[in-house]
Amino acid sequence: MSARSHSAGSQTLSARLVATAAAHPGRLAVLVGNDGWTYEETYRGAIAVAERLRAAGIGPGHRIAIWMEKSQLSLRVLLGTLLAGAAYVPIDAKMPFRRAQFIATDCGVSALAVDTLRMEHLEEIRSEIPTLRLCFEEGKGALAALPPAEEEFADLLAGYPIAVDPEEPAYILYTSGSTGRPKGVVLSHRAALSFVDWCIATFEPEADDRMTSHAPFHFDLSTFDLFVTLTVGASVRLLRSTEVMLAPWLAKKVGEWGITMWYSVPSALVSMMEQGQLSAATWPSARVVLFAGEVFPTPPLRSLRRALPQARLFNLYGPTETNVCTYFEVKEIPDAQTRPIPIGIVCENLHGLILGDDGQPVERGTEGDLWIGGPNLLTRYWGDEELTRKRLLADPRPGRGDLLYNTGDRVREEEDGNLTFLGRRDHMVKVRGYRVELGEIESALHAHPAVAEAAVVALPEPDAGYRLEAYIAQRGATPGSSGVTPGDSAAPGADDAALRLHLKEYVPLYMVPEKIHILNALPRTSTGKIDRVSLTERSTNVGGP
Amino acid sequence: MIENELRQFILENLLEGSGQAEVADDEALVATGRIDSLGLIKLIGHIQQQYRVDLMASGGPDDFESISSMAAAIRRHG
Repeated sequence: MSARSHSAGSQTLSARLVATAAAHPGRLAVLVGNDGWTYEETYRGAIAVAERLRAAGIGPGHRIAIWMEKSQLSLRVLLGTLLAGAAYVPIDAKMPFRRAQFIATDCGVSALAVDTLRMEHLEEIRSEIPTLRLCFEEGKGALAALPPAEEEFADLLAGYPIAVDPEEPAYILYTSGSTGRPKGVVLSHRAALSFVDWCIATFEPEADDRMTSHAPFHFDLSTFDLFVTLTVGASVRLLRSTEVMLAPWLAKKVGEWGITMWYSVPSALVSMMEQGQLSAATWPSARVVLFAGEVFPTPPLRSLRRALPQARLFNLYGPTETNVCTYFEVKEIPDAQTRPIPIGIVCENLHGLILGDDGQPVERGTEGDLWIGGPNLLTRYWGDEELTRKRLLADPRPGRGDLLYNTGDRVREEEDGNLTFLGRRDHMVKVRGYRVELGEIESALHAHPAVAEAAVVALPEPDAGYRLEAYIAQRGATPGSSGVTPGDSAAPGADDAALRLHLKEYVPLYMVPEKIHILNALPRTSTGKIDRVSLTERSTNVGGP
Repeated sequence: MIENELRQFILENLLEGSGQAEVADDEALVATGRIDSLGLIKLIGHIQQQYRVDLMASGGPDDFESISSMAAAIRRHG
């Protein structure tokens, strides 16, 4: 099954999705809990949404906000929006009302979809968004159970999708970054398909594959879960937030469900390994496991590699602005290795440059900032021309005119051509005059057997330097594993003094944090990454823990 | 009664500072985000300590929907 057969003649994401639905109406497309829906059932629902949008004069050039828990209904709105030629704006369901309102207002949505738990805010939100003309509510209208089918599916589908130029937005993902307000990353149909086609060529998904959707819709990992699946005719199981939180249960079920391809942040895999049983015996069908979003600490990654000998494991790297832009296949990791694995090589559909402080390409082996060019790139930041100009620059090499995106990450190309991730520019700080990479300290902490999670935060000092504090979660602190209950004082080997001693074997004295806090678990953001902002606040607050 | 004990634990440890003074038996807790994943871990640990039931290992997502469902799960497994 070649990439070519999927892409012939279809240049928008929506057209490709419709083509697959038309070709495989009877195949299973989506599963949630004990329910499942075929391609026909899924797209009949999406068309109901698209028809409602059209009737309200909403289509190309418009945006639809989805403020719902992940479900078959929120997926219906997502697909219906694409079919109608508009762009969807997924808003984290757990986000406070004011933030949801900010996003919906910021990008001037014409329609908003909410589920039952968020309906109490509907009246208030409705009155505050000037561009809003239509609301979808769970259980009503296009989000109710569909009436018995009258028209033939093929006939219904023939009217879709509403055609748009591939450069038109398919979705806008709001990212918070480390500070300030969320910014909307505008991604086109062209960008979406460029990523989808790279995935098809690299991981060779088939119609028989069974994917999971672990990531929320506002996290770009979801573009693999949904669009790769629904382009090749496979099925995807939407995981709900409670399912995702119960690691031992989930680890067992993933095996039972016969999942073949998994994609998530590293912590989800680490939790399932530590609290459940994740091995070839319990995940017999797993053949591709992808992870992205954070550095995967080496000790548990080594265990994962050994636990799933029949699966291919890939480390994927890339900001929302470029989706996945580099990748590395994980082979056996030697016992002695403590440093993180590389982020690998730039994806074949993109190109990358490592630029020095002078804005010119550096020699191999020298560290620099990673800039990425190619069809995956964002179109712009919504409503922020200044930021767009700052992060998208013309290729400095003579004769090249295309735009490159500044990832804000420091990398170094090794002799074997793989890129080593050296950290975010804003994770490199000066402590007592020395340059420090927070990730290096975190790696060193991970080398201690009692450490399950680690994060180091830098707190500004009046002299323009920083001081360091570390937060760790000890292995066995979560219920269900080795019998330690939360609230127990530090398990043997994991107290401040022991960790400090351990660190001194790995890093210079100035890199040893002033305080090492031991928690039961580190706080996470809605996308599953360690919530460093929250940890920094904790350390900053006077009298805080 | 299990429901009341759970309610007290939740109000004192997970919802303190939220301004919420009551939690109904059938109120959705996790789905609403009122209890986050850290809160869930504390709750599971408390249930293990108090009732000797390990809902992390033996429970499913539906068990954690509300106080009622948790109490029912505790009675089932305890």
